[in-house]
Amino acid sequence: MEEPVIVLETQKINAWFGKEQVLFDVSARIPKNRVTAIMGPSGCGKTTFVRTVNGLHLMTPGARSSGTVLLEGTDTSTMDIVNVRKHIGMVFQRPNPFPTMTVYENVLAGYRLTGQRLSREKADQIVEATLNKVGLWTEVQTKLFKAGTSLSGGQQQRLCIARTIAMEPAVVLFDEPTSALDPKSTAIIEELLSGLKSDYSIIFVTHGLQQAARISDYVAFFMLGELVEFGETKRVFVGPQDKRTEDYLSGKYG
Amino acid sequence: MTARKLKNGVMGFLVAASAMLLIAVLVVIMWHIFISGVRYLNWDFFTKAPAPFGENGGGVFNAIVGTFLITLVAAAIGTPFGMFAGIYVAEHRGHRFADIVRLCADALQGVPSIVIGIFGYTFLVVRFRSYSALSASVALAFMFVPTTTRVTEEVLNLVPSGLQEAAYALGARRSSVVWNVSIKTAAAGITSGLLTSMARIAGETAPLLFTAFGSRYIEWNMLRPMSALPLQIYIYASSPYPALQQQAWSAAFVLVLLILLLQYSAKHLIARVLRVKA
Amino acid sequence: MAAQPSRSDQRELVRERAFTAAGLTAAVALVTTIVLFLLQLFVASRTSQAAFGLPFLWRSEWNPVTEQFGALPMVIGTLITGFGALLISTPFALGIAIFLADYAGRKVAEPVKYLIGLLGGLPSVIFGLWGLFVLVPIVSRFEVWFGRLVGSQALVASGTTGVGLLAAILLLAIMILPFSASLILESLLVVPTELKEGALALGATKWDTIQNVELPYVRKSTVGALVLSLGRALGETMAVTMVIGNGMRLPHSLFDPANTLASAIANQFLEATSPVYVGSLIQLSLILFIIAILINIAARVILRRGVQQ
Repeated sequence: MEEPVIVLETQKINAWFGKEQVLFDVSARIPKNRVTAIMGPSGCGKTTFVRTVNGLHLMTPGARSSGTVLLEGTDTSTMDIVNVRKHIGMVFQRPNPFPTMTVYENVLAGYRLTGQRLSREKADQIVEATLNKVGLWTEVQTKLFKAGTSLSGGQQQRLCIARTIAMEPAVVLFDEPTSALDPKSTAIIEELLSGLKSDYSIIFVTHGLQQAARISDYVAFFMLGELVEFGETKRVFVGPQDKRTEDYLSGKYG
Repeated sequence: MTARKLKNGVMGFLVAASAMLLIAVLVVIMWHIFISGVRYLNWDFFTKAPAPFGENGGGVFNAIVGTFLITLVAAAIGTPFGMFAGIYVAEHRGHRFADIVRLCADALQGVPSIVIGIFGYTFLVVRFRSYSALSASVALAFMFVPTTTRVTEEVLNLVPSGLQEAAYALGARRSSVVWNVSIKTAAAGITSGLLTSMARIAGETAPLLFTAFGSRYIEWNMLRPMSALPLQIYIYASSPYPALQQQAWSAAFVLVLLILLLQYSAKHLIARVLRVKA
Repeated sequence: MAAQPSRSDQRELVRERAFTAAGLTAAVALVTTIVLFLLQLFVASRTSQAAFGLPFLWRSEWNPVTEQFGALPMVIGTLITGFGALLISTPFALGIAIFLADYAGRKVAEPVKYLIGLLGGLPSVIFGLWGLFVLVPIVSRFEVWFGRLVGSQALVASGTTGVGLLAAILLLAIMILPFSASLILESLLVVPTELKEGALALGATKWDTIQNVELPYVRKSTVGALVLSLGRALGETMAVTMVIGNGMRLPHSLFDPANTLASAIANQFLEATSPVYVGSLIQLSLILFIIAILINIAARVILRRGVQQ
């Protein structure tokens, strides 16, 4: 079996909120251009793990973390966190387009917020290309200059995805991207996630087994802050190696 | 049983009566301002400077100019200080120094306006050896800053954290997040607060007594003594001439209109303008 | 991966540093302002301190002609007008707050709240104008009538002008009414509905509930509100200045002209010529400044304990 190229590696990540430890020695190797699902029961540390990768975890008062994150071989602690985030994007559970910006401006928000100036042509190009990639272009073509918040929930989330990939990151983190959406939008976004892997490496957190099984190539199972099992989705679901994984898959945990 | 019911009724009546009294007092005061003020409102009043001593006629254009200039400059000075202090306190929530800053803003807000005026005099007028509108603006800025700080802090804390996180996740630095996301999202509230503060300082007299000092001439130079509506009202009201006392009422009328206009803008226009943009 | 900082990165770094510096500067400026005020006022009142020392605080003579100055008449004037205004306005403030919190429906409450805001937003000098030309004549008529009633020539004499402590107290009461009413209203609105409903369910009348449930609940914050209102009253300048009569001596009755710390400064500063006169007036402002800070601290302490309930 071919060894996949690794885009992101974490080595012994531990994380705390104050005195409470929530991640224990999490070491994972995320393959490039694949969709990796992070699943597990509520409170198992999935979201915290993802937030440690792009540094958002440390923004909570009292939060601490240890361990190394390697992005395409480079230790992220040697980089300015601001630059790390230009290569690792994040889409959140609740769609959060900026209300003071139009759809057009939202797509380019990453550039504006990091002070990068774009020519009008380049800007138009990026907007059209990314909105096409997320399947929004035809839908919002006429609404480009309306407020980002004037779109429907599902559209807003795709706008947030567009905003993130407009920065051409290597990795995109998704924190339960569909849990606030209706089933139809959920389906659209799930399809989108699979489609994006040709250009980006996708890591998405999900609380739904079925979602992980449906769209991911690799899956990481977390429980109580530990990475219990990691592997190709088919293999893990059909033949889990750890008893805890087996119990989770058979519905023993919520 | 009936005693309690009686008490209930009586107290209910008294309570309503106090509200009626307040409204009555307000109506009486506004009535007087309107009735007495309207009498002298003519074109001259708005466009001319005060008449030479002893003569009738003249207007308060000098005071209107002064109020605009002094208030606007005070707001211009006070807004950056107030906003950045508010940003600092909101961003450093929980830190000891931020608490001290908030405390000092509150303390400054409680300083009586006459004390601010005396400070302006000893600190600026004496130092530069002349009364000036600029020293009045600086004095008023001291009154403008605390409310601006508080409004900025409160409105910034209302910005949903999800928006800020999304901005950070895109690689923005803190200053960019605060300015491009938080402040912009909170812009309506902050501007409303600024207009309300301007309405307040536009009506202040005491800080101007020993700084702007007043002037009978239409003055545009901030470095010279200047008149302002509240100041002119005070001077005319304290004078022994009925003609000037009449003008005091009219000037009061104009001042009330100006303040009402600023307060109205604060409430309605800002929300409407920003909603239209979206 | 770790690239050279691009031009835009460098720009952002500069912006970040400038922004952070601006925030810190403003914060520090705010803190130093208070200290600066204190120092400046202290230094500027040297002449008076040198002449009178600490006893200035309780000397009762204020005579510009003989250049003998003491703060007592002004302190007394400030205390009497402040507490007097508080005494008169508090029952009404409570009444209005209770009315808005418990009796008025939305349709009545909103306009009334607006009117309260309007009254509270009127500039001090306009209250002074109204006070001088409308209130003072009324007070004068009352004082003369009252003086005749009790057969005191002195009272009638001091009452003919109308300006004095009584006029100032009444005007001040009107001025702090909106402020204290809205503060008390705020604290009343926080009373949990379950408590009120519980009392009503036990058979209490509306007023019973107010008296025995709501008012005790807001006792601490009401006291805090009243302290803040007192602070407001003590700092009021223009309106008081225009109706208090600029009395130089210790007032003997409510009808006498008097001065508060603030009004003395407003009335006399521009005519003060000698350094000792000016220094004494500035010392008055220093006293006023310190009183204002102390009241602010007192209100905070009370309100903090109230919140912990």
